[in-house]
Amino acid sequence: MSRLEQGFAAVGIAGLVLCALGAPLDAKAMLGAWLAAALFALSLSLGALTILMVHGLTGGRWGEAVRQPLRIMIAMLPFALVLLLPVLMRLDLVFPWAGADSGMLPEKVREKLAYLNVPFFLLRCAVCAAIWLVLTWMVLDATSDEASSNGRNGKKLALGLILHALAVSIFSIDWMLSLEPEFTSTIYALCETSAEVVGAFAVAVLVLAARRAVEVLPGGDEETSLSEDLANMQFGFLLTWIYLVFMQWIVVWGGDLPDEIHWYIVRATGSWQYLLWLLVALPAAAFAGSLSRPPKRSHDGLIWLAGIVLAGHFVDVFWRVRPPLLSGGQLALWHDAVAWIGVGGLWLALFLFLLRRPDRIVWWKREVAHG
Amino acid sequence: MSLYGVMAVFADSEGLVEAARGMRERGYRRMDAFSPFPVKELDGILEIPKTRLPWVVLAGGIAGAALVYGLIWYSVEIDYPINVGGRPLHSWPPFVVIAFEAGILGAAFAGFLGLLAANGLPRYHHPIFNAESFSYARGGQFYLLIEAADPKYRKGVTKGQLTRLGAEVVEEVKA
Repeated sequence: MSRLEQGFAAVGIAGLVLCALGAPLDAKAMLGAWLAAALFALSLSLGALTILMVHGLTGGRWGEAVRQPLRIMIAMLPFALVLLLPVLMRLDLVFPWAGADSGMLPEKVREKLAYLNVPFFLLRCAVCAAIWLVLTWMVLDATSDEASSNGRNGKKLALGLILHALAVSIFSIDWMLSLEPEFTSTIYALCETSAEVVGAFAVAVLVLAARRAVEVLPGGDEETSLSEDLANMQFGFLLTWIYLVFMQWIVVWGGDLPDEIHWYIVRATGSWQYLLWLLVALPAAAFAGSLSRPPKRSHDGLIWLAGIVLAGHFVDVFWRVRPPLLSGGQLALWHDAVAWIGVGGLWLALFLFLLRRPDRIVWWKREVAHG
Repeated sequence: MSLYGVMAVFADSEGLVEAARGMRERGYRRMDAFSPFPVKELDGILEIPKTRLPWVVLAGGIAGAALVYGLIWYSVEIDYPINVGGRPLHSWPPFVVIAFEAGILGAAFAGFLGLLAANGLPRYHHPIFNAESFSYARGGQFYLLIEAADPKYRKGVTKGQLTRLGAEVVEEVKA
């Protein structure tokens, strides 16, 4: 491991130690903070899976360029799944429906307990994880060759995308939507899928731009550079995401039903409105920046665009997952700080290691396939 | 019969680029080039200005969105205020969708009309089609046009310069 990787790993372990110290003090607060960080780490791996499977079906130079960082994110999926284990051990502290006293729940939620119960939740979680591990193995295998033709993997990738869509739907409803079991949104899984794609693609663009002069590499067209193609692709993903998130908001706003609008009221009051403004401002800035050509053709411009988009994805995950779990004022945010330091440090250490030694992904793959 | 300019015909793009550069060095400004495919170097030599169409499209988009949002605002607040489901008259969430779509429409119109305006279209005829060597039968080569309105233009001198720069045919174009 290089010094930088060691540094990140040390920071991550320090964060983990603080998390372990915080857990006995207030396990509920600690797990709530941990969940957001773990879900963010997992979202990048899942988004990378989506992008690489779609690219396997469509082809295109944009995908070949970002293939390597995306492959690394996919290879980190087992790590991200492991991050969920602490939450699995104490589901009752995080999910209201998992608590011992179901008589206290509103009637509407009690009717959902046939689906939202701990054994079934664990079974669904295991199935999702199994699907993703198989997909990880399959996609890493299908993209291992630099110049592999996409034709022979088409059927596998198409089937994989269908399974992936099902798994992400079930997972996002279980782990995010059911944090507030009164709320329902049929578009939520799509919002999550598109958000994952946006986040993973932004990370891949940042990694690529940090190492290569993307603004002079050739794009798919004679007149364009690779950076412009990547920025346009990111713009497309961003628009899909904004569209879906806005649709959920407008449907809930139009219905104006107490259980549904409550989801937004929780996230727009008690200081959360600042995060909400940020969530509006960041994608709006990325949208405006993507409209003009010069930033897409400059190295710094592309890094700025991808950075803003990634920040938007971060704010989005935090804003969606964290508000119902946070109690006890702003001081309780120290749980979040240590959870993000722990997860972020370890994630970055592992990511940089795999970036420097992509040959180790093969080892990963075998590990996943056999374990 | 007045004169629009002189037209020189070249066999290949290199000849055209060289001649255009040569004529520019001699001080000519009002000239134009025609080729069967884009020749990148010509943009710089002929000083073709950078396109301003993106700004026109942006302005069209903003104008479309603002106009339609204003129209909705006027109709719900002033012209026909009606209470729908207890919501405020000025309920922006659904209006944003329509304003956005109108913005796209405005941008598309601005792009279409702006392109026509920038190219001086529509027009029925251009003097260049009076040139014999520019006809369908003899076209497909590389052309350099020096307008008669150019201050450096002297009929005999200009023609001689073009010939010396390697033009296969030099022809007067009637206006």
